Amino acid sequence: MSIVGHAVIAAAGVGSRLGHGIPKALIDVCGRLIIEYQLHLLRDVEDVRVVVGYHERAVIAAVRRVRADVIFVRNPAYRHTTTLQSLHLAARDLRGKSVLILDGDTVYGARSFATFLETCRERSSLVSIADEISEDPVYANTAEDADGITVTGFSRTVPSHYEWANLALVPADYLTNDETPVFERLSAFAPLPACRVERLEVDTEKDLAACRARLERDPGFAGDLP
Amino acid sequence: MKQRSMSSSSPDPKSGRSSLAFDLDGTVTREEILPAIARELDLFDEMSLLTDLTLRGEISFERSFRLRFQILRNVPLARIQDITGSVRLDPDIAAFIRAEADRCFIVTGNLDLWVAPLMTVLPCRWFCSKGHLGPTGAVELGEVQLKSRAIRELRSSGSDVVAIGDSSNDVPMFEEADVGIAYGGVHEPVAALHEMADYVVYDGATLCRLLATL
Repeated sequence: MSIVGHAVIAAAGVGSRLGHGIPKALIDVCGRLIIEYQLHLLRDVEDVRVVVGYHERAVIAAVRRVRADVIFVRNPAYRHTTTLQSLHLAARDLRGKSVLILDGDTVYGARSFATFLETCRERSSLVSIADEISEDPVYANTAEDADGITVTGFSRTVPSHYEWANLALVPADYLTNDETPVFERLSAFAPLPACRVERLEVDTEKDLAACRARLERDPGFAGDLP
Repeated sequence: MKQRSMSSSSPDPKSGRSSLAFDLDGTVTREEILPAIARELDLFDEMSLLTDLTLRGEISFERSFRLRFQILRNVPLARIQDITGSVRLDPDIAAFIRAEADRCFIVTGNLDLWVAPLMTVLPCRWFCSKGHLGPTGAVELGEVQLKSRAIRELRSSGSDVVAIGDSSNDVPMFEEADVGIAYGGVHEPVAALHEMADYVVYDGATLCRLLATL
């Protein structure tokens, strides 16, 4: 039994900033799709749900090549809904449970991801932060004490050494059907315990090039895929 | 699909207690029943033709079922029941239905007399087309079960209804249900159903894991 029982990958969106005409989850990074790296990290999680919308058939086919037991949650309104709304669709029937949420456009460092999962033990919430700041950052304002790092709020304007890293364990009830960004919704529940992760978010061509360069330099970064 | 409330601020008192309406053929069973019967009786081509016409929407489900009934009506009932009784079920789905029989329902256009052996294996409430034995001992067809009507009846009792199916004749069921799950355990769910679905799953155990939360 894994520490985390439920995980939701939000992979419904259009990825318009990158403009490859495919969902970002299906972008190839050094021979594997982003979603394949993610599914590998989630291999011990029993209940994995993938929210699909844009090019849903292609996303479903890619996921099924990796594992047969994923629940696909359809969001046909993906063009007009937020990531938070996609997550809500997948988690609305999981009341009382905690859910690991991740964005379909991020490659996580396998070792730090494993640490994150381990830190989820005995907790109902944990948010991820990264110390590599992107071009369009969502800052994570933090406080640190003997128990570790705590996020006191996320912000686009108040700078910090840390950024929101699109991965969190949250009670399913946090995931409401609202048009706000996920980080804004989570801010409402701050302070939240935090854990650092390494992640390569793929928002732009430059991000993608950096992500590929990293994996070429360090092929085991995202895990040892079969 | 009847839109389920998207509001998350008001807790849903019925959460975890939805009525679950299962299509039979290709969902609970690992193969389609009428083609299996037809194959046994060397009537497969006739039956396939009707199935294709129905899937293409050229004849209604009710008309198609009445014609299929005509093809099979002279076959002794015991022979049909033998074949039906040996149709394989998805083990996980069958176990789930047995464990939660009070909120599970089988919704099929198939004839009650023909599928009777499966009713004892899956002891929940069944919505079927109705048949009876005529004076000569031959089966006579009564009312054909429309799947949409079964869902309306279940909804009228006040609970949310989750419909689970794989083919074109499940579309009317999805239209009336609160939640639709397209199931691809035997074959890819038909496109029309996929496009109406809230969830898509591809194996029996996964379906049951989802249903346990609904």
